[in-house]
Amino acid sequence: MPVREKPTFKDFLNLDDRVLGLVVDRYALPEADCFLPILLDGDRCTLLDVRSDTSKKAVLEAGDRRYFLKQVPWYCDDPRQISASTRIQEALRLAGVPVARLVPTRDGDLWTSFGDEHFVLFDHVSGLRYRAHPEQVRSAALVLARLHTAAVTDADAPRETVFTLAADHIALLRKVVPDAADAAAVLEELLAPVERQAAAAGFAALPTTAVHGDFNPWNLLFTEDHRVAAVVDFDNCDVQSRLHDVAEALLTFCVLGYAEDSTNFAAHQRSPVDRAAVRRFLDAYEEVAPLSPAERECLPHALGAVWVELTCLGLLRDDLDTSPAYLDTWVRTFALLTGATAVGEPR
Amino acid sequence: MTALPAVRVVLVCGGKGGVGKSTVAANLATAFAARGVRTGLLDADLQGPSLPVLFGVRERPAVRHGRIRPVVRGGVRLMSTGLLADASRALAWKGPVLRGALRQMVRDVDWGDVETLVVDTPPGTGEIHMALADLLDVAAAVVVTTRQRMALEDTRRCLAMLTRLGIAVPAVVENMAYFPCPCCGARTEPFPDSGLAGALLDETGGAGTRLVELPLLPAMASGAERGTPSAPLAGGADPAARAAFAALLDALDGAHRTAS
Repeated sequence: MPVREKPTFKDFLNLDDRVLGLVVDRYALPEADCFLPILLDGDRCTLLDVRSDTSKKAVLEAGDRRYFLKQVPWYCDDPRQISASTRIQEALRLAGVPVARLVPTRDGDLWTSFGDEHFVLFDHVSGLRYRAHPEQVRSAALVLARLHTAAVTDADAPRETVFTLAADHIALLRKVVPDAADAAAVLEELLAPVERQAAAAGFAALPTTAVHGDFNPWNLLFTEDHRVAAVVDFDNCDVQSRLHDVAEALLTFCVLGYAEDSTNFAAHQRSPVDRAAVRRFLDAYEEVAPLSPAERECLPHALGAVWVELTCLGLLRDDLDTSPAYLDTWVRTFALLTGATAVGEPR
Repeated sequence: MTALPAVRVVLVCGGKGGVGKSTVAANLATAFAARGVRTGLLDADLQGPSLPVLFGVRERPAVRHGRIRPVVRGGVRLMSTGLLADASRALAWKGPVLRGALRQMVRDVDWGDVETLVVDTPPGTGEIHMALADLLDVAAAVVVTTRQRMALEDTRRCLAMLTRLGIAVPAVVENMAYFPCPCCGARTEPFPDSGLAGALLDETGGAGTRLVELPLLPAMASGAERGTPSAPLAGGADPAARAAFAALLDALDGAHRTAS
């Protein structure tokens, strides 16, 4: 899946009466007259489009049920990819992974288009957002393992790797943010050796399975007792080594900090890495789905690649401090993640 | 069935922007609260919310058990889209999202035992007003205008809408009607009195509608700038403003007694 530049939205991610009418008709819903924009899943209420502005989203009430309507974001709105990702999502749900049910259209399709915009509608899952409770982290690790052991696959999945994705993000960073050329060069320098080391460790021969592709705290909803109620946002799902999800989960749950109330990264990331938290997550994951020796050897390299990808994302969104002094912090973090004392070493 | 059936809902409307609807709404709610009425203030100007500035509020409302807890200032329970996102974010919503936000701000807010809900509405006669009339059993409306012909023309439209919706208008507030000299109290009228305001009341069959003059007061303006919600907003020590808000409350209470 090509990594693409964010387009300019002229309609402020808005949903109008035309879309409402089309949704009601296309999905044969009972009468619905509005979209609900206020989220009540945290300690403080917030707006859906404050939480995330990558695509149009809204909660919809029809009859006595609630649904979540989501435009497939620009970076993954290729019809072939949407078909694959919705099939994967549905197969995972049928395999018992807690995934929101995609509502089929009256024609039985798992996604639909209004003009050149593509949408999915799924059952609204009432849940709470992530609060960094240790039980939430543990439940996330267990669910991620279940997602991987479901052994779902799809012939049309893009089959990227963490290394191609990282390289694509660096290229996009160069194109979109010319001022970040120095940072892009540093990231490129960091990526090259871990990619070589991963190749030498047999990364290409690792088994593949359906991966979420964006497994982070904000794509999970939790119950009151801190269990995962649903995994959402499968736009980036793919069939590839599960190390992508494992690395991304370790980074987003245990390493990276976020700006309050959004999925954007905090400008200043903490350093050093909390290795105990990383170890706890990995231990919980391996209770259900132990990594093979080859996967364990490749994990630090995958961590490095996903860290590069996420750092590019942060730079593209202007989340991160780009001062020269802070670049040093990045490099130290990268070394900690990928170095000999990193998390993937055999116990 | 309408939401909040046991609550007296008072809309603050005005055809033209900038005539002082939000300031009057904030003062009115504060004045109700000062009289011991359990009062809520809903900022239905979803795309141009003013209450966060008028009350000096920045905090995002808390959520408890899936319901929004209004922010309380000066004894008034407040809810506004301005509390959900800072001013760097355009709330450029279209119809169904506007209606949905309004529904959530009425239904999903824990208004508790509020007796009177003052609703600050956006200028004009638009979708929000229609949605409010659908959503709530509106007891009365206060219409805010200035003496300018530009404002009065739109005020006529606003009154026509309220008449059509069957909403009583116990008072029209003529805001910034005069400036009292701080030294001698002499009246200076910034806008000429065309007599249109009075004619407007006749036109709308406003036998029960009272015209309330509200002076232009530096203390009131600076209170709004500072975000101080209590005494200064309610007229403070200024007798003219205090009398104006007392007259407004009396008109609303009178209409309420008549209706019930």
